[in-house]
Amino acid sequence: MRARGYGGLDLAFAALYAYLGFVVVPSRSGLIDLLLGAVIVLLLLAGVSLLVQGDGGRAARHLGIGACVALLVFALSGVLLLAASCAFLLGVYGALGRGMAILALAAAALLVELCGLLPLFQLRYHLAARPPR
Amino acid sequence: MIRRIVGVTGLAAVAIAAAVHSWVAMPLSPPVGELAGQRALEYARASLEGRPVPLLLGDGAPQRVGPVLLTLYVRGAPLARGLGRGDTFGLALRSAIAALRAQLPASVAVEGRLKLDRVIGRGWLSRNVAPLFALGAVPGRDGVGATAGGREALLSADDLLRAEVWAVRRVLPIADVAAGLDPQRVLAALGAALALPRGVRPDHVYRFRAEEYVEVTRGSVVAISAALPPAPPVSRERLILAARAAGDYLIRHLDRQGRFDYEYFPVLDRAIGDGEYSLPRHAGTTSFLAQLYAVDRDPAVRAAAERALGFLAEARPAGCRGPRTCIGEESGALVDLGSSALGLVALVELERGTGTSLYPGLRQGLAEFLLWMQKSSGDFCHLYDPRAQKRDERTQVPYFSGEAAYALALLQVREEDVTRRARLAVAVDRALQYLTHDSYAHLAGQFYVGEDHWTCLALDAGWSSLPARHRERYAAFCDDVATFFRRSQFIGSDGIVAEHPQLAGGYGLSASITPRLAPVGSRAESVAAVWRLARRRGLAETDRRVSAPREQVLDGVRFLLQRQIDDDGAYFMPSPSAARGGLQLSEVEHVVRIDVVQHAGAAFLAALGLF
Repeated sequence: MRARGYGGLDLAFAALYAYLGFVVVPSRSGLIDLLLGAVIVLLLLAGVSLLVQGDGGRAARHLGIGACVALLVFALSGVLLLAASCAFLLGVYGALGRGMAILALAAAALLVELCGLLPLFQLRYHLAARPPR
Repeated sequence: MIRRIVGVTGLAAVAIAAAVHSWVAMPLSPPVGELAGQRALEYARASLEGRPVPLLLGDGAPQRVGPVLLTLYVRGAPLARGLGRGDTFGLALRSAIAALRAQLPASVAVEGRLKLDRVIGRGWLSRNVAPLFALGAVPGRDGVGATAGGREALLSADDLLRAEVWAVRRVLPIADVAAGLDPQRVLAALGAALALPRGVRPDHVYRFRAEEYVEVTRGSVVAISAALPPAPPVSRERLILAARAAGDYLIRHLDRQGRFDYEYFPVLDRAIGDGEYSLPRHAGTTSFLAQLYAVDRDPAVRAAAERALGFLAEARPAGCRGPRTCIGEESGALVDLGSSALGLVALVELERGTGTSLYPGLRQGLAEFLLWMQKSSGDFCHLYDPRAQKRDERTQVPYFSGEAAYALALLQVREEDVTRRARLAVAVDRALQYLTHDSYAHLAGQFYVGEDHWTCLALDAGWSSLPARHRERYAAFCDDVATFFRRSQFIGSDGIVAEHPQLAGGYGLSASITPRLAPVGSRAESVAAVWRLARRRGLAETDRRVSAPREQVLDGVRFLLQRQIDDDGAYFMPSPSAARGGLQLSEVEHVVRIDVVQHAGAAFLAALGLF
């Protein structure tokens, strides 16, 4: 049952990332589009296989772990880069950069919520799950 | 596992942030101070002219961070520069004087203005990563230096401002915002200064900060920051002088047909008027001249305002000449509401100032047009197709509704016909109901206000004819507008102002986005109206709704006064007389556009009421 819940969440988040990344704030960088597209495809595959195979699916588990690791790496890299940006703004601009630095921190917090929580919890589920039937 | 990932990421983020901060931060050594800077320039001038030199203050102050730059400006251009090094300020200064003297015939030094840049901080700048280079220096404050093969070249903060290399290039691939330094042009200039072959980059680049002093025309010296002399004290007399200077600037930049130099580039001494020209801004600028005439009664101002108004009166395309008159470009397919609204404002202001009826037909026709453009909601249609004689019910453009409400409110006060006056009063009331309440009747609308400066001017102008039960509600909205604006104004207690005092009074967020001047002017005008409204309501002087707007306006006009071009601050402009009285888009965008002068000038006049 939990597997199908995560499967549904994977599909919903894949749709959300596609909407945000390709419609709301589309990038001009082909590399970013490619990475985002890969994460979305991985999530879609993981979501569909979790929905179809449920708790015991081996492929679903492997795909789920792969998607979660990719998403987690993306989120944590983003957090580290945003922390560095925040420090850069404060270092170069001093008090003048405080507003932008706060925005960078807020973006990092948003990134954790949007991209970090789902893979963290789902990864814990997959790694703690019983061996496949 | 989750705890481990979160913990490691958190620690890594803190470590990376600490490392980046210490890498890019630029600690500053203590300045020698204004008195020592003044004495240093007197010393330099006397030395260059072969006269006895005065005692140099701060002679032994350590000078280990960087050199001293001594630049001679003649007719707005740096004619020569001496770069001096030494372990102490005195040694570095004497070395800079000797280097400068070596480049000059003796007689030239007397003519120009000397500027001293004493480097007090030196920080990291990326040579290879364009966005880090672009965003790695503070606009208007930092210079950039480079070394190659044992040689060193420096571009001072002034050099970068003169070269127009700030905020001209999109630096990040994810945003269409031009910000920061233009890496290509700056690196090319540094390469040229280092005599490097084309396309070869310097070995090392860095940013630097200097304390800056310049000789002013009165023969004394002032400390400057971001090419700005110190802010003058705000007084009634100073405000009148500033408003007149703004008016004189506009008169000098008005042609015989009544058309302004839409944009003037003071660093290049060049006006550009053939390209984009905004009729709403022309009309707004004309209204400022009309307001100025009402205050100082200068016939030259009146003549200029009438000429500029005449230009507007002619700007009526086919379909705009019937009983409903509108103002627009002959070639344009659509006519905007703002041109007609501000055209009516200018006409009413000038008729009020002169006590004459200049264009009665135009006044009546414009009023009919604005009334016809008002929707049942109280809002206005913003565009009109004169050929099809059809309103565009959907397109919304910032400011136009507030401008139309203000125009109708001004006209209503002057209207003598009782029936027409009552009709106008109803229209103004409906517009204010929409602008102050209905347009914000949603959840997000409870947390912000838009650019409602015209709305509060309209309320102030139409106050006496509004139903008493509506007035307090509208006025409370304008109190909120002033409070909302104040939150984004840099004030004395902010950390930003402690580091950059010249920003006090400006509006902005932070970082590389330098405050623009036009919003400071328009907000000062509007908040002055909020202050008048609070007084009309009989609030005590100690009430925050009276005292806070007053302070806010004074901070705003002080910010503008400091930036109005005068001969003292025009040391790097070729023609100070052409630029005098103008105000640029921002500290790093050296363009005087007519609406910046208009809003600043109107703010100076609006602030007169505070004294």
